[in-house]
Amino acid sequence: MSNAMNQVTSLSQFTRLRQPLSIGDVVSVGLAIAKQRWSLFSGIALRSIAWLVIPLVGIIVGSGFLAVVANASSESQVSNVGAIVLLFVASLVLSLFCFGKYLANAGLISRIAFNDLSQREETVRDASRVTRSRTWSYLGASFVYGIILIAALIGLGIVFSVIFAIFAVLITGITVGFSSGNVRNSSAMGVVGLLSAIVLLVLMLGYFIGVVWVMARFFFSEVPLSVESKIGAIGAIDRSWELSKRSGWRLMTITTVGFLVTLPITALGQLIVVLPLILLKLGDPSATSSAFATGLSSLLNLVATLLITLLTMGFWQSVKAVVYFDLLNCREGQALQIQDD
Amino acid sequence: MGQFEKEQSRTIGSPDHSKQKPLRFFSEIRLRTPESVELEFPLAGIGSRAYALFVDYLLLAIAMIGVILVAWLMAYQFWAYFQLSPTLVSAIGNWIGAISLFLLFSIFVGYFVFFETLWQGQTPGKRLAQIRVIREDGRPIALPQATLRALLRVFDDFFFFLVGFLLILQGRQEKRLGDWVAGTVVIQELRQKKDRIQILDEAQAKNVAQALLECSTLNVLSPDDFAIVREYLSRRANFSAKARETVSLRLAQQLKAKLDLERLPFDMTANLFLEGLYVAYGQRKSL
Repeated sequence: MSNAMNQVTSLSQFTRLRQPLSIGDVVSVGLAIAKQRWSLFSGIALRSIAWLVIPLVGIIVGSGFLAVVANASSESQVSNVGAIVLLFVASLVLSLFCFGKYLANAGLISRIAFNDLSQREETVRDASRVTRSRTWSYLGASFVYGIILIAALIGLGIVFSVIFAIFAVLITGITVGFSSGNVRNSSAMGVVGLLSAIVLLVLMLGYFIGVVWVMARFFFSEVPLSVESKIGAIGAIDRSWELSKRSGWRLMTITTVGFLVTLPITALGQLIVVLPLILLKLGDPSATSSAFATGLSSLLNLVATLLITLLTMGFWQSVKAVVYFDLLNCREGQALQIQDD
Repeated sequence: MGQFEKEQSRTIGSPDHSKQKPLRFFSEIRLRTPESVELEFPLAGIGSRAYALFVDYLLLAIAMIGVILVAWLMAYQFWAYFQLSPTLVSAIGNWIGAISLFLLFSIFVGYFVFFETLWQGQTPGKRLAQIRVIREDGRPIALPQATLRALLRVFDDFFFFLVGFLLILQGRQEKRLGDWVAGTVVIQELRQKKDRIQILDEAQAKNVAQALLECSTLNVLSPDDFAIVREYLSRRANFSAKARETVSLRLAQQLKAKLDLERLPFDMTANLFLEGLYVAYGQRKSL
């Protein structure tokens, strides 16, 4: 009886999932998956972050080692340069590989979440084998995304600068006109100043929103890479752009709401940074400017960032999977299937 | 290489995490009305609540900035008009500060109380997010519940919403402190979905429907199947052209197989077939 009841409720769950989801439901469903898969996702997230920590530790230890070596043998300068270059290239490749591993593990979470949504049965081991084999594609995709983002930053920057320049020229012309006409100069100037400030603020806001809009369009771009077969780095980026057409604002709102939901965790994480520094300052008011305080604060910052990433990765990767699932459904009717009896 | 590994893994098999109990994506709540009727509602969900809160706080921020500006402007005018001495000004300034602080708090609480009472459990943000506050017995909330919820919001939103967040996340009924005290729950507004089914060519679709009804009773098709057809027809406008083609073809083929139609009555597009089926279902019901 209770089994049959469960059947019914789980059926209605998937019926609801088949409908286009509301903004809030995208976030709620993502959180529901992350919550129920908490232990599995945390394990993967931990592995993912470990891959980030490795190159970090490597670089710190390596540079310390280099400094010692350089001090010890100051006579053979030439061979040292070669060694340094070699070490630099090696550590760069290693760091990139580790970053790819970080992305691949994050992608694994999305794949598992997507499997849950689409009722696709796959063992975790199989899933991780697939995402692991795509490590370099993840790296490639994030590289392409980075280039697009930089292009957007520069391109939009130019556009908004030009708009402001045109406005500045116009307003200068008007001001000059006013001052020669001798019409209550000071208040006119005040209005002009206020107007300029408002225009600048609006333009800056527009620039910010524009950049975030571009980011939102690619927000879920690693999910197609995790889920689809035969899709490369560029293919995944292409797919994201194609699917998110007309959904830019919606995706922006989803990420904002997601950010709001993780805010308590983020704030707690930041407390780790702020609290010891405050205590330090209380103990010794002059200490905050010391090298020790600077080192401590950057270390705490790192720890807090890693901790926040660890705690929120399952959520974000699940939300991305839900976004992709929902977009496929809305734009391509993926879930519209006649069931066999 | 990837291919081979995939084959292998299938035969070996491994401990299966994905075969754990099925996940629940949405939560519901069962309420008992004063008349002892059990009702089931979908809970709002933390995403929709955060979305509503975001919108409401945005509106509140705008209102508060407006109030601060006006208060500041009034103080300045007051000072300039009466040409008051600086000591007096600072005393009045304190008063104005206190009054505007009180005003801000009243706006904060009043906003939620006003809207949730007036709109029976909704605020502008909740309207946008399509959620609503109701009493635990399913009745709409009134002034006392709205006030309790608004006052306790101070605790729920303490330290970046930590308290409310944890309570909603942990509890089965997704209640924050204000909900516990006021005896309310936040549910999803049942949407009256407006079906915008567009039949492209009515006359043709009717022809198809007629032909389909002649060669089949359509009895093998379940209401769910028709629901899918209906959903496709109402949503196809949003699809990309390619998707419209593949989905209509897929559905048409699946339905044709299910209906055991060896041949179609006459040549037609997949979209027309689905339209005809939809019309036929409507006619069958009215028989």
